Amino acid sequence: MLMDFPLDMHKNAFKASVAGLCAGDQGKFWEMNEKLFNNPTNKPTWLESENLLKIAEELRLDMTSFKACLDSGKHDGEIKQRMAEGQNKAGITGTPAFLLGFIQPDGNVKATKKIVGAGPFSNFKNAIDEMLSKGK
Amino acid sequence: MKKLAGCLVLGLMLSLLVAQPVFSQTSQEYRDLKKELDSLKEGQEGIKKDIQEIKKLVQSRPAAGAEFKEAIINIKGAPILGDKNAKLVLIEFSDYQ
Repeated sequence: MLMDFPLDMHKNAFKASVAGLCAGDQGKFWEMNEKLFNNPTNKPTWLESENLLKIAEELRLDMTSFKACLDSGKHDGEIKQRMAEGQNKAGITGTPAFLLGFIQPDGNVKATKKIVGAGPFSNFKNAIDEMLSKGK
Repeated sequence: MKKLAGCLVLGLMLSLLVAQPVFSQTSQEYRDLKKELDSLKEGQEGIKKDIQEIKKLVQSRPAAGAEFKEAIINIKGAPILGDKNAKLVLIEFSDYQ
């Protein structure tokens, strides 16, 4: 599960998050996510509008609706809302950050573990194993 | 008899001669030790001060430094990978750069 958390200091990050969700509207969020995340140039220009459109074309998205989605601002609200979830409820201030928890009957996640930063796989494995052994 | 007394005196003088340097060496060692002790004490004071400062820093840190306990997170509409009926969820907060 991914919650966009575009940091102000990362130029174009917000627009890129929007592009991911717009691709998601056409069922290709994770494909877009992979392209955006694995930036082969290591430069912020990778996330500029021109390249976002190029990637969308490569993914064979419907370009008319993709462009309309980018310009509409329809996903801005949910991105801000998800950032607020992380910031206000779990004190998340940077990326990547992870929360681990069980789904509640109402669809919310009751998170009881927080992992900050891109740690080794074992960090995650240990946390998940501990959660599973404790159960709900 | 006189010879014996002379021997005794000589022996005493000799032992004094030998004892003198031993004693002065000990007091030198003592002074060195004391110096070392003083410098150790000084170092300890410095460490104490540093620890006090670190303590103050840790205590004044905002809640972000507090240990995470629990949060109810609304994940409605967020992109999902894996089993949609899974009970355990890993939420990644991430951005592109």
